[in-house]
Amino acid sequence: MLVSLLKGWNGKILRVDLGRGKAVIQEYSSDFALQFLGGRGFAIKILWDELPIGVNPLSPLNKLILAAGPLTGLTVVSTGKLVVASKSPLTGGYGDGNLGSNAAIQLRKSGFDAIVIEGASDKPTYLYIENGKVEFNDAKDLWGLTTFETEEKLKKVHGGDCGVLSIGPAGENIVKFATITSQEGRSGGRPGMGAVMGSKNLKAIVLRGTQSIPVHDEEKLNLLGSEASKSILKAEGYDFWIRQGTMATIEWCQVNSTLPTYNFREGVFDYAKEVDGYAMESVKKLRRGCPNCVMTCGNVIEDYEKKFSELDYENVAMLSSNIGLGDIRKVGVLNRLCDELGLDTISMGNSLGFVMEASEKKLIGEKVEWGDFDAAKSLIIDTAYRRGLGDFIAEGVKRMSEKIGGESMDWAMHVKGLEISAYDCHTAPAMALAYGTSPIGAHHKDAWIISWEVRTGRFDYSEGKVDKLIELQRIRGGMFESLVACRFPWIELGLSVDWYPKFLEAATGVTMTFDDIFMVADRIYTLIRAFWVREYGANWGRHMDIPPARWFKEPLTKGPLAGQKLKWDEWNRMLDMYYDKRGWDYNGVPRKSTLRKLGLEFTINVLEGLVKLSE
Amino acid sequence: MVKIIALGFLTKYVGGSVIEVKLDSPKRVRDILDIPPEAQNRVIILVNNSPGTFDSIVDDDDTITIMPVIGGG
Ligand code: SF4
Repeated sequence: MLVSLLKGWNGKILRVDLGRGKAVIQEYSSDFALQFLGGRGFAIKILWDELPIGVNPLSPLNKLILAAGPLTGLTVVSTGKLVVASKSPLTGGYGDGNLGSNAAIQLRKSGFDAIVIEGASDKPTYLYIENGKVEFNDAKDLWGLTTFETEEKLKKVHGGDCGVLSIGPAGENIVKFATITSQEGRSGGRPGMGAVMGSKNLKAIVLRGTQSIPVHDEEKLNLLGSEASKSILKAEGYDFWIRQGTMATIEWCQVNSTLPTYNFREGVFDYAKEVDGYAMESVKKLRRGCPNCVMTCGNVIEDYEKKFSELDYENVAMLSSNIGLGDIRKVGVLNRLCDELGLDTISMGNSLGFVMEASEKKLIGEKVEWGDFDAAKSLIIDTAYRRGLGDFIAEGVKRMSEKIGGESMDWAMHVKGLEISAYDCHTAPAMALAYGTSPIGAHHKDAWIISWEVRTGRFDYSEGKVDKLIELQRIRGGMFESLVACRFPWIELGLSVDWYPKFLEAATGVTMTFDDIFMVADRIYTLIRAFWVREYGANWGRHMDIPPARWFKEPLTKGPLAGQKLKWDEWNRMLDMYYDKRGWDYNGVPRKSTLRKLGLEFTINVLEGLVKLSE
Repeated sequence: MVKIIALGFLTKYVGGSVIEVKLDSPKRVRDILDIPPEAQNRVIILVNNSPGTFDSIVDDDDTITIMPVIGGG
C-alpha cells in the first residue's frame, strides 16, 4: 500500500541529484511510514539503505536528508520543525539535528515529507523548490555571505513568505561543526550537517508550497490543537517562561553545580549572575520563535556591538561560563557571530574552552586566556574561515586532542567526537550516561535527566535511573524526533505527553499506544546504533560510549558539591544495565534477537561481516 | 531561621529569591510554603541540599531550596 492511502503523511519524498541537476519524486509505502514515522526515523532508514559502507561524509556519495514528520506544519502546538541528517564529518557516525523554520511548513505544503539531496554541484548552487518544481540556481553571488545576509537576499528574490535554510562561511569552509541555519538564529545539525551541505556546493534551499497537508480528521485535530494551546497558555510558569525561556536554566544549573565552567572543570561560575536569565532580561529587546508556537523561546537582546542576538541556555552557558566570560552582552556578540557564520555554538564554546585550557597548560604556542572576549571573537571568525589557530579549532575537540596528545584527551569534552552540551556531569551520573548513549554523540536532546537525579538522589547509580533514561530517550529521541514536534511544551511547561498519540490519530487515522510508539522509538535507536557499528566496524567498542575522563578523575573544587566526581565502576555498571535493557551486548552492539524483534533483520548480514554479533 | 531559596517561577510564591522565616517548632515544608496544588508536581524540593518533599520536617537553621522541574532544553 502506498502511503497516500493514509492521511497525515504526504507519502512523497523529493530526491535531488545535485551532480546531474535532476530531481525526481518518489512515493513510499505505508509500511515505511508506520515503522519509522518520519523525521529522524525516515532519515536513518534512508541513510542505512543508501549510503555505501564507510563512505566519506564529505564525498558526493553522502546524502543530506531534510525530513518532516506527520505532525509537521499542522495546527498542533510547536510543530514548525524539521530534522536535518547525514553521515557526520565530525563524528563519522549518524548525525542529525532539528530546527524550527518556516521551511518545515513549506516543505510539507509542497507535497513532500522529506528531501534527499545527493551528489555535489560543480559550482555554488541554491535550490528553489515550489510544489515539487525544482530550480538549480547559481549561488555565485551568495557564496561567502553570512546566513543572515543569504536569507535576506533570497527573500528579496523569492518573497518573504518562503522558507530558507542556508549555510554560512563555516559550512562553505567545511568546519566540522558547521550547522544549517534559518530565521537568524534557528540552527540545526550540530554534527556538521552544514559542512555536508558545503561539500555539495549547496549554499541554500528555498521552499515554497501552496498545497494543503492531508489530514484524517481536521475538525478533531483543530480542536485538540487549540485545547493543547490553551493548556500551555495557562500552565504554571508560562509567564516566567515568556520572560526568560531556557535562560532560567543558568541559575538552576548554578544552584545545582551543573553549569559548565572553565572547560567543564567546575559546575559553578563566580559570574553566573552576570549571564543569567535576569541579566538577559535587562538587555532583552524582543522574543522570536519557530512557526506554530505559543512559547516563542528565542530571547533577542541588544549585544555589546548594538546588534540583535538570539539567546538560549545552551549557547550562553557554552560561550560564557565555559570560557570564563561574565558579560551577557559580550556573550551575545559571540553567539550572533556563530549564528551568522553558521557555527554550532555548543561545539564552538567547547572548542574555545579546550584551546584556553591548552594555552594555560602551554600545550599550544598561542596565548588565549580565560574570559578574553577579543580573543574569543577573533577565534570564532578564524574558525569559520579556517585561518591560523581557527583551522585547528575547525576540526573539533576530539581531533585537536589527538593532535596535542597526552593528558589533553582527558579534558577533550566530547563523546564519539561530538562536543558535550552545556551540563557538567561531575555530580550527575545518569546525565553522563545520557551523553554516553545519545545516538549522535554527546548531546542533550535525547534525554535530559538532571531534574530527576536532583529529585531522587544525585549520587545514586541505580537501575531506576537507567529505566528513566531509556523512557526519556524513547519519548524525546524517539517520539518527538520522528513526529517532529518540539518537546518544550512537555518538558518545560508540563503539557501531558498523552496529547501526542491523540494528535497522531487525528492527523493520520492511525491509532498508536505508547507501547507501539516505544517500539518505533527502539527500532530507530537500534538502527542508528547499527549504523554506527557498521561505519566503525572493528574500531567500534564500548569505549565509544564512555564520557570524558575529567569527570571521573578530577573532582569539583568549588561550590556546595566540591570534592565530588563520578565513580568509574558504578558508572560502568549502569552502562551494563543500559545495554542489557536495550538488548545490546557488552560492547553496545545490538544482539541478533533484538534486531529481529524490532524488524531490523536486514542489518544482520551486513553487521556479521564486520563485527561479532551475539545471539 | 529557616532559609528558603526559590528559583524561576516559584519566586512568586515565596516573595523573592531568598527569604528567611522564624520557626517556633519543627514544621512540614507544606506548612511553611504556600504553593498551589496544581504547581506542586512541578516543584523539586531540597532540604539542606538533599531530596525532600512537601512532608519533610524542617527546623530552624535548615535550608529549603525549591526549584521548578525543568527539561534541560
Ligand atoms: S518552544 Fe522554542 S524551540 Fe520549541 S517550537 Fe517554540 S520557539 Fe521553537
